[in-house]
Amino acid sequence: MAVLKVSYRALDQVHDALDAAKSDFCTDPELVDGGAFGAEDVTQAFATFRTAQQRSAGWLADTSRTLAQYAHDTRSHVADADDDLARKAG
Amino acid sequence: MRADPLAGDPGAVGKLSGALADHQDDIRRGATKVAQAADDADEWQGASKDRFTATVGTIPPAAHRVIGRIDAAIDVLDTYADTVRRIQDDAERVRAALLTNAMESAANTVALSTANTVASADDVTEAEGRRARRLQSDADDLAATATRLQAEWDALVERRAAADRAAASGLSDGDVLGVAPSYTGTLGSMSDAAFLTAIAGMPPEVLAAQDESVAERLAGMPPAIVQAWWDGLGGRGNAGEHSAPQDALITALPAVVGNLNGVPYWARDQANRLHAQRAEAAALRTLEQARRNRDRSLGGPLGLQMQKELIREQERYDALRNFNAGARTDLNLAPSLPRQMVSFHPEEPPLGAFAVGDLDTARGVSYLVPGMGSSLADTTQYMRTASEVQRLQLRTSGEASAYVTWLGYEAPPDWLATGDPAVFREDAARAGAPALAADLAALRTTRPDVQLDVVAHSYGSTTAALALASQPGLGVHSFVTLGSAGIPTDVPNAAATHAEHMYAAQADERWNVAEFGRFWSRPRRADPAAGFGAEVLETDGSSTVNVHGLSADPKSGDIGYLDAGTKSLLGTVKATLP
Repeated sequence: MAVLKVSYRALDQVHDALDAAKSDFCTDPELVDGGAFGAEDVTQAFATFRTAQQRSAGWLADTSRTLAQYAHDTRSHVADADDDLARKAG
Repeated sequence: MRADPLAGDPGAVGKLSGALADHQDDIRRGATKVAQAADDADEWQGASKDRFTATVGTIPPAAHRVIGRIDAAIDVLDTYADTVRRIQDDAERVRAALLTNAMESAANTVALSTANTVASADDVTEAEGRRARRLQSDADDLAATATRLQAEWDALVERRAAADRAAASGLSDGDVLGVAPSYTGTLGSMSDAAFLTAIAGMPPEVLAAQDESVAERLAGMPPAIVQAWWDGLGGRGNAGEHSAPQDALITALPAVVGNLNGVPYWARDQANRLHAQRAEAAALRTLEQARRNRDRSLGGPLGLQMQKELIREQERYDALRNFNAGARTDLNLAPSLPRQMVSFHPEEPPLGAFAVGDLDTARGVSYLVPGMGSSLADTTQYMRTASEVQRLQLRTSGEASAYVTWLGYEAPPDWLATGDPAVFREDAARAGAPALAADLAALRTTRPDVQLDVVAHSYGSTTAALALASQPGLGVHSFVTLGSAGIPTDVPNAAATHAEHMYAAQADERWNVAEFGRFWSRPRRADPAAGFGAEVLETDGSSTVNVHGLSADPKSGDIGYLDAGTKSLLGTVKATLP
C-alpha cells in the first residue's frame, strides 16, 4: 500500500497559493481597440489573438481553481475520515 | 480598400501593448505561485495526490508559453505603432503641402487668367507680358509640385497598407496564437485520423483556445476510433501515470473528454470532476445572484418571478452539489472501491453517471437506472443503495460488480408528489433510451469481455427495456427490473431485450405505485413479472418489500426492493455477480 502522509498546513498552503494564482490569471484587462488600428484586417487579427489569449489564460485560471478546490476537498475528506474513525473507535 | 495613412491612433495601440505587458506580469506572478504550491505539496503523499501532481506541473510551463505569445504580440503592436506614427507624421507634412499647393494653385489660376487677358490687349506693356509669363511658369511649377506630392501620398498609402498587412500577419502568426491559423483553419477539412493527431499535439492552453467546432467534432467520433487514438497517445494509462498529451486533453477539453466514449474511464472521471466542480462553482454564483435579485425585488409579479428563479437555481445547485458529493459520500464498503464520475452533462436539468468500482478493470459492470422523480440531487442516495448490492457480493464471493448510478436521462417527476402525469407516457423513456444504449455500447466497445448487467427501477425499467431492445449487440448478461412502471408494447417479451437473463421483482407495494403506473400508462405497458418471460424474483419473506422505493428510511419500518434482508436484494446480487 502506498505511503499516506497529509499535512493540513501543507494542504492549506497549497489551496491558498493556487487560489491566489487563479486570481492573478483572471486579471485579464478589458482591452477595447476603440479604432486604435484604423485598419479592419488589423482589428480583426487583434480580436482573434485576444480571444485565443483570453481562453488560454482562462485555462490557467480554471485549472488552478480546480486544483485549489481539490486540495481543499482533500483536507476536508481527511478530517471527516479522521472524525469518523475516532467515532468508531470510541 | 485603399489604406488611409492617417487612420488610427498609435498612442492607443501603445496603451494596448502596455496593458498586455501588465497582464504578462500577472501571469508570471500566478506561475510563481503555482510553482510554490507544487513545492508546498511535498508534505502531501498518497493516492489522493496523484491527480494533483499530474496536473499542477503543467501550469507553469503553459503560463510561460502564454507569456511568450503575448511578448510576440507586443513586439508586433509596438512595431506597428512606431511605423504608423512615422507614416502619419509624413502624411501630415504631405497633406499640408498639398493643401498649400492647392491654395496657391487656385490663387495663381485667377491671377494668370487676369494677366493673360491683360497680355492679350493691343496696348500690353512689356511688364504685363513678363508678369503673365511668370505666372504661367508658377502654374507649371505648382502642377509639378502637386504631381510630386500626390506620388508621395500614394507611396504613403502603400507604406500604410504594408504596415497593416505586416501587423495583421504578425498577430496571426503561430508565435502569437500558439498554432498557425492556417493549421487551425484546415482542422475542419482533415481526415478523422489527421484531426486526432493534430489536436493531440497541441499544448493544453492552446487546445483550450480552439473554437467550439473542434470540441464538437471530437465529441462525434466513434468509440472504436477514439479508443485506438487514445491508446496511441501512450497506452490506456491510469489516474497516476499517463502521458502529457492525455493530460492536456483532460484539462483542456474536460466537457468533451468526460463524455467521450472510447476514452478510459479513469480519464473520463478526471475530466468530469473538473467539469462538474466548475459547474457547481458557477451554479453557486448564479444562486447567490438570484438570492440578491429576490431580496432586492419589491414583491408583486416581479418578486414572484424572482422567487421562482431562486427556487430553480437552488434546485440546480443542490443537484450539482450532490453529484460532486458522490466522490466522498460514506458507503460503508470494506474493502472500499474506487469511484469514477462516468459522465456529466451540465445542461438543464443536469445529467450524469457515477460509478462505485473501476470500470476500466472490473470483471462485471452493472448499470442502475432509477425511475420517476430521480435526478442528480439523488446521486449519493442511489450510490448508497447500489453499494448494498456490492457489500453483499463482496461478502458472498469476495468480488463485487462495479455499479454505475446512471442518471443520464430526464426522468418524469414523481406523480405522487407533483401530480404530473408524465410517468404514464413514454416520452421520457424514448428520449432517454438512446443515451443509455450509447453508454452501454461504449462500455462494450472498450471492455469486450466485461459482464454487463442492467438493474432498473420503476420507470427506469421502461427506459432500459427500450435501450436494450434497440441494440441487439450489447451483450447484456442480466436485466433486472424492480417495481417496473411497465415495458412498452414494442418490447413484447424478455427475449426482445436481448439480455441473456431477465429477472423481474414486483412487490405488494403500499398504494400499488408500480401497478398504478402500468395501469394508467398510455399505450398500456406490460408487467415484466407477469407472463413476460422474465424469471420472477420474490419480494416476500422475513423482510417483505412493502414500498415502491429501492430503499426505505430504516426508522420507518418500511422495506424497499434493495434493502437488507430482502429476496429481491439477494436476487439482484446473484444476477449481477461477476
